[in-house]
This record gives sequence, C-alpha cells and structure tokens, in this order.
Amino acid sequence: MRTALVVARRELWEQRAYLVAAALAALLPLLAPFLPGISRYPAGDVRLLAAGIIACTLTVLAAVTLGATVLGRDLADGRVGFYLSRPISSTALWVGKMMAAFALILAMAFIVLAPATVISATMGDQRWAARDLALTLGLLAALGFVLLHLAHDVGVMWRDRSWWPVIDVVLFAVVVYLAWRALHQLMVSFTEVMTITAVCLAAALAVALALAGLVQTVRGRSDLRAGHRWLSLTLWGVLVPATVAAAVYSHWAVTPTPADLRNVTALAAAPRRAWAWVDGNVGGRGPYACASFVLDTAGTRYVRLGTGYWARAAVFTSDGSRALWWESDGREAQLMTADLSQPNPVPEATILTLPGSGGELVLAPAGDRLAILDGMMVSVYALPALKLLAAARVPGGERSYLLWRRSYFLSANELRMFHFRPDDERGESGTLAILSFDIASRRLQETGRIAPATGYEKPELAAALRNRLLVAQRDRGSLTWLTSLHDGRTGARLAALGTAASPWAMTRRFLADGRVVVAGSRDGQASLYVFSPEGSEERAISLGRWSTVWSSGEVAPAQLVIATGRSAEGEGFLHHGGDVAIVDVNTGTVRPLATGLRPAEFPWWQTLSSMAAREPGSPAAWLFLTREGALVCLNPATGAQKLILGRQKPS
Amino acid sequence: MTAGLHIDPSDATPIWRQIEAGIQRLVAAGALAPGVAVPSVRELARALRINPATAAKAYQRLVEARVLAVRRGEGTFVADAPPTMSKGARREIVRAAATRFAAVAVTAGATEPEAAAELSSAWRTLARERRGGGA
Amino acid sequence: MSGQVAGGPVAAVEHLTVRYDHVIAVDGVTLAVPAGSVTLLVGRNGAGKSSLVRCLLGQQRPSAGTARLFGKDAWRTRARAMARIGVVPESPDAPVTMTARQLAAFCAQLYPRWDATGVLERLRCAHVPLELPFGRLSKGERAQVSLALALGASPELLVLDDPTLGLDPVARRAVFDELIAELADRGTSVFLTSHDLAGVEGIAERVAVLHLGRLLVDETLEELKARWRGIQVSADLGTASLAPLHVVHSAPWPWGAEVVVDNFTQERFAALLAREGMAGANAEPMSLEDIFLALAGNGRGGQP
Repeated sequence: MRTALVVARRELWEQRAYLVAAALAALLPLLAPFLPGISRYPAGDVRLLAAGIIACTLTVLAAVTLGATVLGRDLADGRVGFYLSRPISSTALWVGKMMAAFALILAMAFIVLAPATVISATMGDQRWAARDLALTLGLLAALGFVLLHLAHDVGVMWRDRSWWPVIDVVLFAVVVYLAWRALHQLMVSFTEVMTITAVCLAAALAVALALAGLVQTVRGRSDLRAGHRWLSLTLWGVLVPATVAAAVYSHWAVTPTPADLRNVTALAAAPRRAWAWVDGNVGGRGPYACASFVLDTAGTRYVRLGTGYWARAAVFTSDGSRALWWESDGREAQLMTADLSQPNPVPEATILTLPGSGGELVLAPAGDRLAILDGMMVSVYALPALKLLAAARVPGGERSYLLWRRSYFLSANELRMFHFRPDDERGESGTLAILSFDIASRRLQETGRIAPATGYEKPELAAALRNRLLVAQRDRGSLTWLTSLHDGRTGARLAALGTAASPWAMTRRFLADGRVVVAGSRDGQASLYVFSPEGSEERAISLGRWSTVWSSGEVAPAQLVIATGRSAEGEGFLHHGGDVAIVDVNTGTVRPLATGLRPAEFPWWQTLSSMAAREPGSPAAWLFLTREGALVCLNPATGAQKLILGRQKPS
Repeated sequence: MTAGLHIDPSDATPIWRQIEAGIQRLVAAGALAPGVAVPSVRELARALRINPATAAKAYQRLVEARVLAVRRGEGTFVADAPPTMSKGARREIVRAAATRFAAVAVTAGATEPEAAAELSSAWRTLARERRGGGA
Repeated sequence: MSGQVAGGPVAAVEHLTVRYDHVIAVDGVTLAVPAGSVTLLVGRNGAGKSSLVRCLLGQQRPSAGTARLFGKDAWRTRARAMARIGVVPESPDAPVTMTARQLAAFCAQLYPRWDATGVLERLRCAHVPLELPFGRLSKGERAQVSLALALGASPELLVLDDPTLGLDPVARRAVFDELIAELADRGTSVFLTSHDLAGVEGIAERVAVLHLGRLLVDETLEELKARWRGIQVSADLGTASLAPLHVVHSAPWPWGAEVVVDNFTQERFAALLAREGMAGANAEPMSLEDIFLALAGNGRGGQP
C-alpha cells in the first residue's frame, strides 16, 4: 500500500533518535573487552556476548516504548484525526506505523550486532558467522514483534479508563492457565510435541496481538473505547480457542487408550491370567511417541501406565493379580502398582520413591518379596508393606554388570543374581558369576561361576528351572552356538546339549517336567530337539524348511507352541510373520495351526522368573502379532484368531 | 469603490441586495462613471468579507439590469449607458434617508422650517461642488 | 468537479444519534450540505458539534443514523472520500515535530492532485515560517497551516471545525480571507462549525443551529434573517398581545420592552402598529449572533 509506505517513511524519520541511540550503544561491545576486570577474558567472547546482551536489551526497550507510543499516544492525545482526515485507510495507517516501528527495532539490533560480527569475522573467529547473525536477528525480530504489538495493545487497554480491562485480565488468566496446563502436561510426556505446541501458541499469540491492534485501529478509529472493545474481542477471540485447542490436544495426547496403539513394540505376559504388558507407538503425538498399558487380553479392562518417548515396563506377580512399574521424571522414580483383580483397576502410587529412574524389578514367586536392582545396588523389600529388608552393593570392576532380567528369588530369603565380568575391553568374553543374596543375614556371596568354554564367547543365560540353568555360548570362530545344562548354585556344567546351527533367534527352554527343548535352524532346515532332565537327547523333530524358530510355551504338558518363519540373512526374526504349529514333544507330531503370525512376547522382555513361573496353558503362549502388527489371541483348538489390538486385514 | 459601499451583515436586507442597491446609488451619484472597471467578484468578496457567491449574485443582477457590463477577458465594468435609477428605487432611497433626517432633527428639537432650511443649504453646497469638478 | 454526486448533497447526516454512556451528544439530527454552498453549524460548547463532525467524516461510528459523504456511507468510504475533502480541525493535530514544509511534502504524497507551489505560496503570503516545527508556531500560524494543507488538494468539500477558536482578530481575519479566496476561485462546498459568529455571518449561506444535541434551525441565512426581529415597544405589554407575531422572549427595555419574534413579516408588523399604543414600535433586524443568543442562550430553547 502506497500510503502505508508514506506513513512509515514519515514515522521512521520522526523516530530517528532510536537509531542514534543504537549507534551509541553499538560502541559498548567494542569497548567492553577493555573494561577492568573483563580484560582477562577472550576479547572475541566478550564482544559477542556484550553485543548480544545489548541488542536484546535494546530490542525489548525499543519494542515496548515504540509499541506504546507509535499509535497509542496519537490516539490518546486526539491527534489521530490528522491521519484520519487524509486519504489514508485505517489499515494503511496501522500497517505503516507498525512497519516503521518494526523496521526500527530490526535496524537497532543490526546496528549493535553488526560491528561485533564484522570484527569477529576479520579476526577469523569461526564461532560467529553471518548465519549466526541472521539467526540472532531472527530471534530478536520475533521477540520484538511480539513485544511491539503487546505494548500497543496493553497501551490501548490502559488508556481506556473504563472497567473493561477487568475482562481482559480475567481472560488473560484463563488463557495463561490453559496454556500452562497444556504445555505442562505435554512436557511431562512429549517434549517434542510440547515444543511444537509452544511454538504454535507463540505464533497464535503473535498473530492475535497484531491482528487485535489492526482491528482496533480499523474499527475503532478515533474512538478509543470502541477500539478497545474490538481489540479485546479479536485478541481473546484468537487466544482462547487456541489455548483451548492446545489444552484439549494435550489432554488427548496424554490419555491414549489401547485402541490408539498403532503397533506393538514390546509385550510381556503375566505368568498367569490373561494380563499382558504392552507398549507400542501412538500416532498424532510426534515421532517416537509411545504408550504403555497393562491390558486384559481376555476382556476389555486396561490400565494406562503412561505415555511418552520411553516404555514403562511392568512386572507381574506370579499369580498375575498385580502389576508393578516405575513412574520417573529422570530425577526421581516412584513405584506404581495396580490391582488387576478389580473390575476397574487404576494406577496407585506406592510409598516407595527412589532417586534416579528406578531399576529392574524382581518379584518373588509368592509375591511377598520385591528386589530392586539399580546398577550395582540391590535392595530387597517386603511386600506389600514395602519395608526395606536388606540392601547390598555388588562388588566388581567398572565394566562388570548384573545380567538384566535374569535375577530371581529362590525363596523368600534368597535372591539369585548373575554377575558378568568381562575379560577384555569389548566385553565379548568373560565369566558369569552366580551370586546369592541372603536377605536375613544381608549377605551377598558368590556361590559359583560359569566360565566360557575355550574358544567361545561370553555365556548367556537362556532359562532356569529350580536349580538348573540353560546356558548358551557362541563359538568365536564358526559362530555356532553351544547349549549346556549347568547347576544353578555352583554353575558346574552338567551336560552339553549339542549344537544348533543358526546363529540367531533360537529357543531354549525347560518344559514343566524338567525336560529341555532346543529349537533352531541349520541350513534352512528347522528342527526341535528334546533332552531329558539329565541332558541326554531323546528326540529330534523336524519342523520344516524354516530359518527362524521360536517357542511361546506349553499349551498343555508336553504340547509346545512353535512359531516358525523365514528371515533374510542378518534380519531379525521379529519382522516376519510365519506359521504357528503345536508340537507334541512325546510323539513328535507337528500340528499346524495358523499362518502369518509371529509370537507377541519379545524375548528381550522376558524374565527368567516369569518364565519359570509360567505353567502350561497360560494364556501368554497364545498371543501373536499379525503381519500388520495387530495383536491377536489364537485359539489352540480351532486356530481362530481373536483381535485384541489393532486392525486385522480380512483374510 | 468599496469605501462608498456599506454592508451591514446584521441588516435584514440580504447582502446581495445591499450591494446591488449600493452600486446603483454610486452609479446614480456619478461616483462610478460609465466604463469604469469595478472590482472583481473575488476582490469585492474579500474586501467586504462576504461569500463570493453573494457578490457574484449581486453582480449578475446588475448585469441583467444593465447597470454593469462584462467584457470577456477584461473584467466587469460600469455599463456605458447605465439606466438611471428607476423612480421607485429613487423614491425608496430618498424616503429612507429623509426619515432618518427627520428623526434626527425632531430629536434635536428642530422645527420643520429649520430642518427644511438646512436641507436646502446642504443641497446647494453639494451642487456647487459638483459643478466645480466632480465628486 | 469530478465524481461529485449530481444534484445531491456532498455531505449529509440522517437521524444521526451519538451516545456516550448515558449522555446523548447528538439526538436524531438530519442535515445536508448542498453542493457549492457554505453551510454553517452553530452551537454552544458541548452541543455536539464535534461529535457530529467526526461522524460525518467517518472517524466515529454513530450510535444510530447514517452519515454520508458524496452519497456513500462515510464510515465505509472514509479513506477514498478524504481525497476529495479538506479538513481543518478544531485543535491543530499535525505532528508537532514536523515543519510546515515537511507537512506539505507529506500530504503531497497522499493526494492524487496536490498544488505544492500554491500551498507554499499561501503560507509565505501569510508569513508563516516554513522551517519551524509545528509545535513552535503560534496559534494563528497553525491555523493557517491547517487551512493551507486542507486546501492543497483542491478539495470539493471543505470541513472546518471551529477554525478561528482562540485566534486573535488578525489571525481570524487571515483565515477568513483565505476561505473567501478559495470560495471565489473554486466554489468549494464548505461545512463550517463555529461559535464565533461575527466574522462568519458574511459568508454563510445556510445556517443550522444545534442546541443540546437537537437541530433547532436549518435554513438559508436570508430566510432566517427575514423572519427574526427584535421589536422595541414603548409600552410594557404582555407577550400574548403581540399575536400573530410569535414571541420567543421578551426583556425589559429602558422605555418599554424588547421582544424577539421569529415569524416576522411586514404585514404582521403593520397590523401590530395599527393597534392601540403600538405606534412607536420599532422592528430592528437581528444579527446572527443575536438570533443564536435568543435560541440557545441561557437555557432558552426556541422552536420555529
């Protein structure tokens, strides 16, 4: 608009004193390095820092004073008629004046920052370049823009000596509350989305402030009071819906239901009953947003553990009636629990709070003991009172660690843990020590060791049943695996269970009667091996041409659920849905049940203690994921799939 | 010319009529000789502090009455042969002046013969001066 | 003139009402400024003149009624209409730091037609220093600058809101001289508010009187002057006995009374003179100021 430019040009000339002030202020950063007490710091840093501080201060001061006076003073003094009596549209008047004020603010910041930038550049200082100058100017411009319009709007409100500003104050409080609430909720769970929301709200604020001033000028003209009404209408008409939308969104974001899960990225089933802990990604809340639930796979009940960017892992008591998990903000962790036997289970906070982000939770089979393993610290509590019974520190070198999800209670008084001590820097080889923590005497002692066989890498603990352990080790050279049976207390090797050929995705487990099954694939041929409790091979069952094999558990004594699939070399087994069959270990028959499924329970999340507590027939064995990532429950008798989460493609 | 033209804004007579009458009187008295230029509408309005439209209206009526004539490109002038004042107009003006003279004389306590004598004397003086070289 | 509404008034208000909280500043006023005429709006301070002018110029939204400029709604077409209108405000509102020259240059960029030399010439003739900031000029000089800026765009309508307020007689005369010259050169329509009636009576063609927000009079000055008279009667008679002349008010006069009537005609006056004891009655014309005082002074409100 031509007239806006005329007004702007005039206003710039009128306010040229600001530029003079900026030019004078620009000298300060250049002189700053020579001030006493400051000369010991590097001159470049001092210059840039001083320039930044002064530019910021000038921006704030200029924006506030210009905003309050550039139009407001004329309006209050009755001088706006000079413009309104000329062929200048009200829009052009506002645009021209505000444009000039904004240009002044930008120019002032530039005048202060430019010399310091130029000097730094000539001195070869790489830390501050034209790009940084542009970025700083951009930030100051945004700040100046908001302050400019804020000062104008508040100035109008102030100059209108009526009762109306009371409404402004009330609505301001409402808006601030809604915005704080929205951002606070999001900050706890989704900091990325919170940042986006905060930026959107800031943009809405800037737009609202500017638009309000424009509408006030166009619709109020020389009438300050009418202008104020329009200003408030526009300002709150934009901000209230914006903050309400933000609050509604943030409430939605932090209260997902299992139906919102787009996939299942982690699942661990309770030893008994149909509850399972599920974690998956949720949409609409930014990248990597996930939510954790404990849900009843046989019904519709669920407990939301939380949302955010990291999973909250829950552990179940042996009877599946209670779940425990940590709620942490990084600095402090609170132990939460939910009583799953209720018709409407809700998260309850326990009295236990620990610094940090919590630690591994281990429950005793009887449900009367809870062990917390945090780094090298072990603490044992009595449940349900959560009374601390004993604590100990595991001695060991820096690179040694307790095996994760491999600790378990032998009894209410004894906790067994496995301590890995690496031989070398890379930690590929080392000894596994078996530790026993006597709770009554508070004594931690090493009861045995499992050393790697010669030429083999570090031993991995695959399963434990009563006092025996299944250990797997990989041959350094041929990359084949050795499975062996060891004594649980001393770690002495009781038997070697042959080698299965494929280097990944193998199943080794105890059956309920003490027998051992090992399943794997060699050269594309999948087989299942059955061993006696003493370790002698009883049977080998061929499963077909598959490259991956996994067993979810026993559906009935000696009836094993087997999932097989194909994966390309190096790819994880987890990505491809294959076939499900029931293998009768006694007779060697393989009864196919379904296709296109893979086990839902991730081996990563399985704990030795929960696996040991699992009885044949527990529902955990029947949870599978379809190729689309939907969670289904497979009926062992009919092979029918019941959808629990997600969407299933019609077959 | 405006020295002889008296405009009284508060007079009931519309201003244009006052101007019209005034100019007619000046022309009749010989103060404005035929062919003499009269001030432009602008100048007249400015001098009398009146709306130029009013002055224009007066001039227009005078032009229609042939007291004034407009010469294109040169201005407005007294007509070469301005009609003498109509009998009615003359009587009106003289009667008004006579009424004023009478009121003054009566208020001063003069008698009718006294007043008449003064009137004749003034007439003769004026006539003598006129003959002597113009007013 | 380009764009002028043929045959219609250049500016008009219709049933205009302006309310501030519970005060009614303008109460249902209907007034038209005919093209090519000088319309004078007279009223006491606080009678609502400035509110009316602001609504007329599209700077304020009336509580009710409409204001039109060149036939179109004033509020909506303000900016475009202002290209054809020159405004001289009551109190000079130009930015105090701008000099007269800068103001002229500023305005030159806003109007499609601007007579730059004319404006500077006018100011020089008025001996207004061109290089002094507006705030340092005297009142009279400021009024001259405002008028020159208003005239610089050769407007079709000139709106002056009490242009001679606070000016000394010399400055006042200078303003009116400028105005008369403009009228003579271009025949601009003029809408003028004033309560200084002495200098303005000569140039007004139409007169409107605003009293307590209401329009009491809206007619040509000629018509107004024709029907108002102050009649001095030697006997102290009651007002009723002057019928059919309508007496607006009467005041004691040294030897009798003076009554003000607003429906004077020669016939009615002759009838009055014929009555008993009325022989010495004298009907004096009234100046505009006298008429205004009779209408609006000291709480009197006369209705025609």
